[in-house]
Amino acid sequence: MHDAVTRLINRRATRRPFGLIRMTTLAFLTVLVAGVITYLQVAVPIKGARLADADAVYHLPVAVISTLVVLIAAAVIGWLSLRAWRRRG
Amino acid sequence: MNGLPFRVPPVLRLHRVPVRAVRIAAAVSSGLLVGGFIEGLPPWGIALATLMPWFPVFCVEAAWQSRHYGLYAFFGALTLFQLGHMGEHTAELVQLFLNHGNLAQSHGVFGPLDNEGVHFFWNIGVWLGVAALLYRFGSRNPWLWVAFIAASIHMVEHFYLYWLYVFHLEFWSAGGSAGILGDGGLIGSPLARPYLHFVYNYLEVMPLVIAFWDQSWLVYDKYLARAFPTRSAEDLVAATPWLERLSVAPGTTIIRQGQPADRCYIVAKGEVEVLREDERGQGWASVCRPGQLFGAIGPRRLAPHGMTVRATQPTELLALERDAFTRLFAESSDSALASSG
Repeated sequence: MHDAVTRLINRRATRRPFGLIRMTTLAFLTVLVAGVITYLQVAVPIKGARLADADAVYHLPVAVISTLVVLIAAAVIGWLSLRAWRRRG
Repeated sequence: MNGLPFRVPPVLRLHRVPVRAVRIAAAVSSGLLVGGFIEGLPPWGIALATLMPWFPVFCVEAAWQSRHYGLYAFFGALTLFQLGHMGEHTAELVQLFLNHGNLAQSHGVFGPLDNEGVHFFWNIGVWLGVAALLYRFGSRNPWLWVAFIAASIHMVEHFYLYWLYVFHLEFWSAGGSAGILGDGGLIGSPLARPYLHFVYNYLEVMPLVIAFWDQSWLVYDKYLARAFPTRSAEDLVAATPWLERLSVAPGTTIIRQGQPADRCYIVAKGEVEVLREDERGQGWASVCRPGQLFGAIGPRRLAPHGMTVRATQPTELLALERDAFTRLFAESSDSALASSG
């Protein structure tokens, strides 16, 4: 039992969030997904309404506002998180 | 406790729900799946019928996890729901493939929910949920940052789409529903909206699953922490897999004075009375409530238990074997130990 406890503690200590095996698996999976999506985009094009490029940019300010809102909120959340971690030590 | 080293984080095992209940849920779920096909139910009806028996299992287990592991239970639920969401996007891709790209016939399993409002509120919920997790767990979990960044990018797209849907419906219907990065959208890309949003979800769900897996190795039981308030998080994390959950009926004697002391106990729910008797036959009693420890001195000194403990209510206990206890808490100076017998 003592050895098992020690092994578990050591395993946690050496656990790497961006380890080689994990990143390789993730890369493989991502390439697979990219392949499937590329195939579908080419072989199964979507039929539906489509704006002309000139019309598509008509609501650019909405996109800018959306980006700013999310960016500011994300920055506040990030700042609050960092502050909380420092407080917790 | 057997079968070490763990391949799967121990906290992911079922704690509250018995295996028999899972088997029953699986059998009923399979029956409803077959029945749904035979009855010719729509895809969402079959999916709902199949998922329904799992609902009580999920609720009971999630409630237990929430009581013992706090926000980690929410992390698990969010990850599970996001995997389901990913499944919905996958179903949409399969339908598009089978329907030769006809979007009108390809709305996933829960077709009626495939609308801009649901997409927006689902994504804002996920985004805020990941933000809460980042606040609580992010210092030791870098993959939560990755998930949060991906969720934020996805959120921009849905913010824009929902705005168009609510305030400029004509524009949205005429092709504005492609969004910002969809093919024919504001900036555009080679990917049509369903394919692009599958990619968004993949980029959001994968880091979330990895972050959840990593967090599962860093979780400790709240009642253990209450019983040993001075121990480090690392000690508590290492001890948590060795906790054994016990349900005790009122009136049950948990330990008897003079009995060999092979484990100590933490009260997680309910109440127990502690009865001690000295050499002269004089006795006194006290009670232990959730977060309090009893039976710890015996295992620590390799001596028999010096008291009798009885449940006074339906009680849930966490038992810790002597070996694990002495290894992890031998140097403990907790007041809990001193007062618990």
